[in-house]
Amino acid sequence: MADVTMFFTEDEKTELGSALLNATYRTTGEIRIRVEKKAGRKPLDAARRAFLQLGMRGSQDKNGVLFYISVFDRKFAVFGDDGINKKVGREFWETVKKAVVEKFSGRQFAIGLNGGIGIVAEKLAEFFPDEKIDLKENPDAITFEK
Amino acid sequence: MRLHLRNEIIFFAIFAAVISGGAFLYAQGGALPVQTGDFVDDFAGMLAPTDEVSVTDILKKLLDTANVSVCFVTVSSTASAAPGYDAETLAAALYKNWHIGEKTGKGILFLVSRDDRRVAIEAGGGDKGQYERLMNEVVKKHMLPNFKENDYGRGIYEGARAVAGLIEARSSFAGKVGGIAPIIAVIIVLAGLFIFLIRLALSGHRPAVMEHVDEAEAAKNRDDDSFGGGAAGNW
Repeated sequence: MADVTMFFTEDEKTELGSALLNATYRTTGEIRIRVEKKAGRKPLDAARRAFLQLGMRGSQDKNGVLFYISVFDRKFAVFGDDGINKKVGREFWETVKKAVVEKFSGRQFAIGLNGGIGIVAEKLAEFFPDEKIDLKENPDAITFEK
Repeated sequence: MRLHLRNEIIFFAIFAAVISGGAFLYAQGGALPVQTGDFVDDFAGMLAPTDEVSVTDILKKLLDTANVSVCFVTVSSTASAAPGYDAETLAAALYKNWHIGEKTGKGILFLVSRDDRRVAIEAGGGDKGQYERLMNEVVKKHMLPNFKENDYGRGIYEGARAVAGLIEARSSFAGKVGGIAPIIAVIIVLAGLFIFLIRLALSGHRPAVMEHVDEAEAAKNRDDDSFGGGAAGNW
């Protein structure tokens, strides 16, 4: 089975890394991307599991958001912790999903994620603003299943 | 009589000029190297036999799984391999002449010209644009750094691995189902239906809850030990 780190080109990784950095400097929330091989039948559960495994549950405001992709069964999920989930509701997640999946269908993976990250970042900044406005560099912002 | 002979000489001169001119043109644009292997044609002898085997394996597997023909060609120089060509035109000519990607509809040819220090890529098929963009990156990131160290075998091997990785990762969601996959899918569905009916018959009553496939709907009804929320789907 192919290596999923190849899902993004190096240029795309750089591009998404800066998109994530830009997305979160105005908020206490956190956004990450996880690329795995297969999600199985319940991608949202797979995303929730990844969210826990990545240690994203620990945030004070429970406002972490994970963009989850499984390469070989072509699944996508966007998953948010309780804090943000209570604020935005289900329709919001559907909107994000639709925006991303639409681009994915045309194989525009970085563009799709970039758009989704932008939408989520707006909401995070609205509900969980960060007065300090600091750049939160995170080497694990994009991770791949080994 | 004398006049007649002169005409003959002129005629012969023109005839000779036409023939030699034709031969010259042929030498300039006609003689392409003959393909020796489907995946690797190492005319410059740049690959160790083990590298050649590894690269061939990678590309053969890629053809089987993703249905894309990829071929690596090395020449010592384009001038020696095919006079009159440069790396780009030779790559394009070989791609066409060797019918790369003709069966699969998608193909990529890498031409490494050692003494010219050139790598040219020719891609074909519906994904031509995307392939050329991706492959340029493969050349830049995986091949050239090794070539600069004069490690051509490693450069080509790593190039092949990167190509296969990128294409496989990207083609698995191309939405294309071919070969025996649809037949297997039908068998699995029928087997599933059969087992379901058997269980239904054995249990003697209606199944309590049928599994919900709608993830968003399922998320709404999730029990207490779950947390958060979101949406999921296929692309």
